[in-house]
Amino acid sequence: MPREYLKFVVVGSVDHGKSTLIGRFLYDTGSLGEAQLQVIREVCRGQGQEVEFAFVLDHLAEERSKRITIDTAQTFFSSGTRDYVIIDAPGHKEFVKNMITGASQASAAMLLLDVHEGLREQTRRHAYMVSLLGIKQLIVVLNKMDRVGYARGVFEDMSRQIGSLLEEVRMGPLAIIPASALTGDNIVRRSQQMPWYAGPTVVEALDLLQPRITDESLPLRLPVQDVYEIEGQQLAVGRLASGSVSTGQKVRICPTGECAEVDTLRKFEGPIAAAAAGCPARLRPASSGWPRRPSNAANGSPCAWPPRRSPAPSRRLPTGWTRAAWKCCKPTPPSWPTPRWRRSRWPRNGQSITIASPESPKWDAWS
Amino acid sequence: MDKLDELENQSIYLIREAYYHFRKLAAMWSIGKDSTTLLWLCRKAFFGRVPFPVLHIDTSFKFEQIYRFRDEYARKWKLKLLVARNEQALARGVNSENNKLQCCTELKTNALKQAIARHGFDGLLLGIRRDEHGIRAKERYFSPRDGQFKWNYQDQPPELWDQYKSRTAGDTHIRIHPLLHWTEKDVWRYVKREDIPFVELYRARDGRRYRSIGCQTCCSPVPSQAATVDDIIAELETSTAGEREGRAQDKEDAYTMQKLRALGYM
Ligand SMILES: Nc1nc2c(ncn2[C@@H]2O[C@H](COP(=O)(O)OP(=O)(O)O)[C@@H](O)[C@H]2O)c(=O)[nH]1
Ligand SMILES: [Mg+2]
Repeated sequence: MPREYLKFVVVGSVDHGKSTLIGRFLYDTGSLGEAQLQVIREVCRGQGQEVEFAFVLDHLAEERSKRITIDTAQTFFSSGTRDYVIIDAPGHKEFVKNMITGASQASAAMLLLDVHEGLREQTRRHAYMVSLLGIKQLIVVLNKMDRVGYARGVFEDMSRQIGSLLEEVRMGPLAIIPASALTGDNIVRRSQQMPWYAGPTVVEALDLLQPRITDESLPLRLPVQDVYEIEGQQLAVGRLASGSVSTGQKVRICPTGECAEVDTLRKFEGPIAAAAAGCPARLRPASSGWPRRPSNAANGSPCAWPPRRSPAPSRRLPTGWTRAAWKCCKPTPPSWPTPRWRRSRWPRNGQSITIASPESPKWDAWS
Repeated sequence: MDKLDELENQSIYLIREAYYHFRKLAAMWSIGKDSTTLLWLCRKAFFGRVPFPVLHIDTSFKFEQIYRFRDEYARKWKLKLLVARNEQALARGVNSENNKLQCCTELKTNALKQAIARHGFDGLLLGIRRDEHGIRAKERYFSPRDGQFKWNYQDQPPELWDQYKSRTAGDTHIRIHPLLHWTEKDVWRYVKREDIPFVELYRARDGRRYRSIGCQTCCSPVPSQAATVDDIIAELETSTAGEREGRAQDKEDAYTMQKLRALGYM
């Protein structure tokens, strides 16, 4: 049974309860081991404090003594059909670099807001970063409802405030959940304190997230990672960034603009693949589709860090890899390096090479 | 796309990036299931041949089965196997009995330092995973180490999309972690799918098996009936016990692993 795979990042200002929420979530879903809990209890006792769920994620000694998250961490959670990766992000301004590192790998975000403290500069900054990184799916958790007596009025007021902030950064939340990470209200267990709230709990809201949106209609982009020569055959290796490729397909090699035809597509040919040669189960027939890259960020989300290789439609959410050997229609373009198996350094003169669909526009913008 | 395909794609991408970026690359092979899976992925990435050396840090205290497995598959997979041992420390009689931290540091970290000095490696592929230990959950795919081998966990480089850190002046080498995003369960599901060989110690015998293998002196088996890969996967579906619970060096105190890793431990 193929399992769905979804990564989401938890963001929001410092001390609004991100690490606590993740720890609580893991605890309430029975995902934590007894030994792990025991260590946390001991550490907390040693520091003379109550059990801190945040310590499940905050693992560095410095993080625990200062009670802050310094670096991003990832943890895993499985539901019946899905495997989740939960990415904790530090809230401090100084650690935005670590927050972005975590967030750039996510396909959804959970934004936390301490209702007692209200919107902070870092709440805005994180919301903006999430939008900038091209994350489209967002769940808002209005945390620490226990500190405001679970008041509906506070929830509604905060919902309005966060709503207008999100409008500014052009994001629409899938849900706004009143919760308490400390007590566990509306995290996994539905709160008795807030009967006026009929929406999903945090665990239920995860079902609203789409694992991966794939789009086969995007033009082909295969940034070439390297070129190997194996048994006299030149193979460009790389991971398909978007679109699809099949044998016989006309492609263009960028930035030279040379036209070529795909000769072969190959995956690993070790003993296993060779055994399956007649019926290439693992060697996906090109016609029925090579792995494709989702369109998530393909719609022109800003990219502040120019990709080293090529501006594929998206640098996010990489999926398939493939390799293509090609026959050039013209003689091998002069800029095309002669590969050896163990090439020392493949000279690209700072240029990236991409195999693309022939009708692909704007070549000059690529070099 | 199937999750295992997705994990595999990402790992192969990382392995090729590492091969592209580093002049002197090596893969660390502890002969455990993770680093064996790493080698499997390396073979896939390069069409069945691993184009760089494979380094085994040998403390001399490994299980006999580990040595046998190592030699068998080094031959079968035509690996360029390098074995690194801190002979001076062994001659001095360093062992885990009096001081585990020192033993790991001498026989693993320092043995690795010596190997790097001898061979001039600037990139090392390692099969560590985020779900193994809270401290590893903080790792990057491309993780620099300085002259003292220190892991500067307080100031790690940003890592965005598929853009990874390559070398800068202060680094002696960069560790590349192509399996970082895999879980223990993923590895076993993949071992099953690909039929990857593994050391027999992982199978239950007389009601016990090893979940994590290393030195004979510091690993103990956990109660288990799982004798086949399917059993192991089923066992992991229900268990929340930590994978390294049989590992002595993790238990000394809550931060031993952090200290070890900061000193260059794998
Ligand atoms: N009263 C209350 N306190 C909370 C709640 N969630 C977190 N906290 C506390 O807020 C503090 C900061 O939490 P932490 O998870 O470290 O915040 P982070 O910086 O966003 O990761 C800790 O002392 C938590 O115990 C909540 O729902 N209610
Ligand atoms: Mg935190």
